[in-house]
Amino acid sequence: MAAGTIRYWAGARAAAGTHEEPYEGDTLGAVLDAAASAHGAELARVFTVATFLLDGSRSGRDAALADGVTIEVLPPFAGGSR
Amino acid sequence: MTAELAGVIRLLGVREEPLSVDEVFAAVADPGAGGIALFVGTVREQDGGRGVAGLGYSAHPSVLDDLRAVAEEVVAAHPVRALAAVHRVGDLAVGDLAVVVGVSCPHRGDAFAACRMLIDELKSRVPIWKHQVFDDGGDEWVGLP
Repeated sequence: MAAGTIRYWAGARAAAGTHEEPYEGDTLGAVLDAAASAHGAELARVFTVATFLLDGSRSGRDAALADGVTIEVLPPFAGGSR
Repeated sequence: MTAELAGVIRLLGVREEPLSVDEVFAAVADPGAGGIALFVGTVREQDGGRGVAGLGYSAHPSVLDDLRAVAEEVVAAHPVRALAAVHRVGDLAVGDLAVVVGVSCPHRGDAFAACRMLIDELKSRVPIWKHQVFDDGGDEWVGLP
């Protein structure tokens, strides 16, 4: 299994209760499922709308992980009504 | 970035210090400008019917790169003579300036269109998050379900 660091930003950080933590898993989806189980429904809700970066590149849940890859969880940006 | 873009994109910033409309206005001054459009976003006193006590903006470390990418697209899409955009981060109060952008063009129609594109693309694509605290004690991360 690959191991690395997952980093939570803004509302994801609030839902996870931490800015970053170590992960182990073979795919992004497996790591997200484990994190949602560990931290609860609020983080799971954030995951439904978040963007995920693997070493800075936008990736989907099927993406394979390699040792040392940093996962970043970015909630939707401030946006705002036009 | 080409030398031409470097000359047109005059000021990009994300900072904790209070913003200045005069700073952005001065940055987009250009002898080729016939119209200058400025947009100023401020902290509103209510959102969704709830009173806003204050809010915090935070940004991803890539924020300036993403802001530059948006600025370059605006310059490519409109006859822009000069462009500037500055966003505040940190804790803000009602009435504070959250974002100031400005564009100068030869004519006002293009200035309005370029300024509109700049603020709309900035808002949707630049990684800045907003956390609102309400006067009823609740709080919310804008954009989360």
